[in-house]
Amino acid sequence: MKGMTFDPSVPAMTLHRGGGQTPLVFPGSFPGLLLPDQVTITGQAVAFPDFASDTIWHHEWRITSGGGSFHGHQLARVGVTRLPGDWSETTVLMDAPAGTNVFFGQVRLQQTSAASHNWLNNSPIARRQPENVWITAFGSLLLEQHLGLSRLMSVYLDDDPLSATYRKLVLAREQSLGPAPGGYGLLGLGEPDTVNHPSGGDSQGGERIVGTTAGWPVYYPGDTGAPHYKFQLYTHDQLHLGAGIYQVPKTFRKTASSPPSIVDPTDYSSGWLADVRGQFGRLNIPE
Amino acid sequence: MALVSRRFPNGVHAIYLEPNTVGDWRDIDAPRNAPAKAPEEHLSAILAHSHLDYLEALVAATVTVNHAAISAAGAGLPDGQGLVFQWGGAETTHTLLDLTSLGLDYEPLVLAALGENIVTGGLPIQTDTGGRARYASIYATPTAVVLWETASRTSAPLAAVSLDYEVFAIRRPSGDRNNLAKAFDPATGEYQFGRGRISSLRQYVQTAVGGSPFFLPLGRTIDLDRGSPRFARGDGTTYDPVPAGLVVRVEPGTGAYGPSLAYAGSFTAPDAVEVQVR
Repeated sequence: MKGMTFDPSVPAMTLHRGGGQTPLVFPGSFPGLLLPDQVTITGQAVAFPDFASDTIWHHEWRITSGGGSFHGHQLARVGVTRLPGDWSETTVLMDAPAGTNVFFGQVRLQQTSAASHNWLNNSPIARRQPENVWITAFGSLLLEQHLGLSRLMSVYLDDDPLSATYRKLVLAREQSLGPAPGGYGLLGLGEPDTVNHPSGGDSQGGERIVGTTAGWPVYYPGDTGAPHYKFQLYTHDQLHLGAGIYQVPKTFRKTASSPPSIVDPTDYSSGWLADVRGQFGRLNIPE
Repeated sequence: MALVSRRFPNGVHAIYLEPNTVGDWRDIDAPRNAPAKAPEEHLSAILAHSHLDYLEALVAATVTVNHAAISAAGAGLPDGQGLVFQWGGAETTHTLLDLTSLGLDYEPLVLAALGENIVTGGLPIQTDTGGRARYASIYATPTAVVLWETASRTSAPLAAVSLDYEVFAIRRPSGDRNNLAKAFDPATGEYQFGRGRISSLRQYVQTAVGGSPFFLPLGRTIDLDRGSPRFARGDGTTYDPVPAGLVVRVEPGTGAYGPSLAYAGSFTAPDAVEVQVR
């Protein structure tokens, strides 16, 4: 037999080719439907703001034995920090046509501005997607990462009736900076007024404290001097108060009269451009 | 509701569920034929329509990728981390399909399924203890389908692995291919529908019962918390690469470590649709 039969219960059309050939069943399922209109969005800004910032204050003192004499030093440096927190923003690209439940899309990305400085005085914030190529875009794409920090974007048709962007094609951005590191507080012998310095060996101490809120120390300027770095040497006589008792120099502490200061030169915002293209469609679910 | 296949004098040919039985079945303006007349308003009732496009597979192939071992990371921040964990540092690409012979002048939409999941923008394709993992994105040029991978690394290496991907390059819809509402070639058994838009000899992305489907996610697939991601796959599983032991202290290391940077949110996988290419 040759010909065609249609079975709506499958649903399927069976093509009988005769000659003992196996019938072809087509489609046997629901093909994904696409609305004919091609969607093209060019140069969509994908920007991530800088995180809130603060400072970290490092103070250190040392009394050193050497060569039969004592001497000491005090130093202080200020660094900049970034504070923990999450941020997100959703941009509506366009309305989704009625009846569609999926956007079959591609995204092409280009980073246009990166953080001004290395993260944690260590290395640049790494990009996590290839640039200038058309990436298949279902859901989310990680864009940038480093220790404690992540940034991503998502392109999808929002089909959540409870969402403010219900029935919209959206581009959502998120970034997150994790909880601040530990290690703030007193160092070594802390910040006493005087110290019983042993004959031989060193005495040292200091502190590492926040400006206002604990954050990630992302940048220290080089130890090149004022205003962010101060250093002072002291002779034995300048520190010696009596038998075995030495003055601990603390005039560079944050609470003292002449601490260092800093103007934050860093900017950890970043910018990307995204081109988005594709077609809206519907995937019907067979029962 | 009846599933019907109808062709109308204006050239429309559609297979759809009748919303009612009002009007003459031969009249495209009859209420019962509304899906045929205005398909964009009745997509849920349509199986196929001569004015819609379809996700036709230009190429379909199973490709084995031999992913190389990834070396252990260095010490990270000296004495600043409770354990070694680093992002990136092992980026590489793999050409999954050579499309040169197709002579394309565009970059096709490409789908690559690894088991039940498609490769999205950073799908975890291999995971190991401590957060060692390999992640993949997929893109196309006019001449190739390419898988781009990166990693998260710890104090131990990530072993090499061979993975099989089902790879599909989707033809950019080109509209009508002929002027025949439907055609059947008894010599080959080919059935064409909607002026050549669908052929029984070509493969399409479809939803179907049975078979070996993979999941297309329909929403966000990554969430962030504490600076760390949670990945959600189409099959409903999630992956949190950052281990609980990743804690940090101000460098140089003295004093207590801070809280864990491991993901602590409540994100779950989005809705997904099971599809096949056949």
